[in-house]
Amino acid sequence: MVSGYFMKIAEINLDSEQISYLKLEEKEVKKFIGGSGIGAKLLYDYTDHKTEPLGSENVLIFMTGPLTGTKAFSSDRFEVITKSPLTGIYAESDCGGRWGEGLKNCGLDGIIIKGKAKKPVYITIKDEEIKINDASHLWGKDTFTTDTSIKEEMGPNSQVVCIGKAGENLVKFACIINEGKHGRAAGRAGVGTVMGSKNLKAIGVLGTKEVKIAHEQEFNQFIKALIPQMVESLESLKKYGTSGGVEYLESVGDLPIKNWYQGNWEGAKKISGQYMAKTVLKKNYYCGRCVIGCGRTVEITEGKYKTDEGAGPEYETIGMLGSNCLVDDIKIICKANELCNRYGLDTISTGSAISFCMEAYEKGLVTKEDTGGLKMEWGNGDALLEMIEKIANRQDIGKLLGEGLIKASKEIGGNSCEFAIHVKGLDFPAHDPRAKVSLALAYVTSNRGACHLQAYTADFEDGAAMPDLGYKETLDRFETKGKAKFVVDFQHLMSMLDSLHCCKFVIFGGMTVEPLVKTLNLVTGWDFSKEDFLKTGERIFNLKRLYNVREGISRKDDILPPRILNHPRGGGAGDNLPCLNKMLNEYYQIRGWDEFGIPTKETLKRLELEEYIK
Amino acid sequence: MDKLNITLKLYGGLDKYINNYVNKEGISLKLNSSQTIKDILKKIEIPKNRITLIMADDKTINLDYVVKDNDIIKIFSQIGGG
Repeated sequence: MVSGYFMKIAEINLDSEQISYLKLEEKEVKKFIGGSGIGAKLLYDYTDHKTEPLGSENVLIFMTGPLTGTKAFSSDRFEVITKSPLTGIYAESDCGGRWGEGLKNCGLDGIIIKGKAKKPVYITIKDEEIKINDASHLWGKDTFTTDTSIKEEMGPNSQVVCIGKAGENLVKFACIINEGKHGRAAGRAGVGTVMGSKNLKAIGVLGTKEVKIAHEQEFNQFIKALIPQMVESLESLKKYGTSGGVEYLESVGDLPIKNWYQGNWEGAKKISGQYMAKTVLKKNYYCGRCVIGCGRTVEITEGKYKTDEGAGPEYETIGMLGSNCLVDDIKIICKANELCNRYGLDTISTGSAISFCMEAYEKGLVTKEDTGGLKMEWGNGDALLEMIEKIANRQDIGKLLGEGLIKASKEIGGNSCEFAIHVKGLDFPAHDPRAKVSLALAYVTSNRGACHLQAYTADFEDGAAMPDLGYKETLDRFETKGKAKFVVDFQHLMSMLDSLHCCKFVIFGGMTVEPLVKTLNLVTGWDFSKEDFLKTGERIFNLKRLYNVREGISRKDDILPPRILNHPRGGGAGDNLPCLNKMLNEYYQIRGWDEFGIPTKETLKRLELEEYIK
Repeated sequence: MDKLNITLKLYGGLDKYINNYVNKEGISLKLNSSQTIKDILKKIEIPKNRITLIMADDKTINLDYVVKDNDIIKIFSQIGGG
């Protein structure tokens, strides 16, 4: 037994309704830690290039890390790992809330869902007891109602993950929601779609087991001592959420505007976190074990855009469903956020689909006939809200948009591929590589498609520093030199955060590399050095790349859309364009990958990934 | 007018605009006269567009706030965005 773990994963087969258990070995957990580290290893073993993402052969893996369920703040998180129906490649999605610790309390580090139920089901896990239950009373219900219903059945301390109608209807960017109306989401790459394809509506957990800590007293003191700095330095996140960055990021040309075309926009100040605090915000929200509290709780008490009290929009939602569509009414964005949460839709990909549709409509490639009468004009917030309903319910052009940008642009035709803004089929999050060039590399090399979180370099390229990774000063966001190594180093750290499993915001409050290494060692009793820690992150990152290599991914897929490479947006990004090719050459070299972006034999040997050498 | 002593604490990477800034302690400023945050920032050269939150004694204030003796002024830049 290794402290921090239960060394146990439940494998739930929805075809046979059999439940079996995987025993984890210490050697294995030391190499891959947890979260999407172990998740990637399991996905590699359980699926291959022939696996259909929405077929019964795909697996849906939920995984926690050794810090989950301990006093380590901001570690009540879980990862969902699967083969994506949106991109066809590796998918991972990270979620806060409270379900991660709930699963750990049942004495499980993770679960693997296999097969497909004959009729809609939901799973309940109470300590050792795992049951598969008939979900006919829940199918068709939104995520808030589903959460409440299962909590009524299992008790108020239970935790629930569930899908809404979007997942049931197999919208390719359906998400999984924890905490119901508080809207914590495993949002990206269609993890909710896979859940829907298995006829699995929800998983409720309630347990009593506690996580063992190797050096408990020292751990408790160490964590306690870090809290004051964490709370003090992240006061801005608590007050305004990530939404507090909207105005600043508009000013530097990072916020997406008008489907990534425009440079600046007056509307940003009407939809920022600061504006929300004066209008719709009721209070902030904390995930389990968190001391930062960056979540937003909003309510619109009357009028056309009335919402219940619940999760409010954060930076990504404001960027993708607001500025990217030129919608400048915070009430509409709050309503859109609530709709997406109830239906279980990724707000990033939904905003991307709608801004894409608005541009296609402007160019006459999509007409009112296609939209069921909706005028998909820039800034038309009412049409945006109705299109969300159409996407969730697969109506009119909403059905095609729900297939993702690759299929949608192919079928819409014209030159719509020019303004389908994604990498490998995953829509861009709301940060612009023209404003921060490391994002060019981050997006093309992230293992799930366009994603800034696998590297998370944006703030360190324009503001923050990370001395214990060797970055004593912030960098120049337009400079190409040195960015390849920068992205590589940060990807190793982020791979570890996604495995431990800790919220990335802790690195802004003093929980940087050295404190994280110490925390891992105090929980597990191991003796990782900083180098071991970062090498483990490197190993995990390479394993995810190997999964994609087996799917046929190579340099030809590590590219950005034409608009981002060719069109200077102006505003705070001026006429800057990212020099992707130079950076990518250097990146492959540093990584020990060949010219096609395939990890070499030597690299795999160095990282103790010999068994993956073909 | 007596001199004023205030403490300035900077977060979210803003400390790089000040020489000799010591983390967790901030810097002490001696002011010859009463002034606003806006006035102080003219001399310190922190880009205003980076500032997302200013607090005095744990209450939110704005650039027009007139500082008092012994104020602890906290200035934040937004970092941490999904």
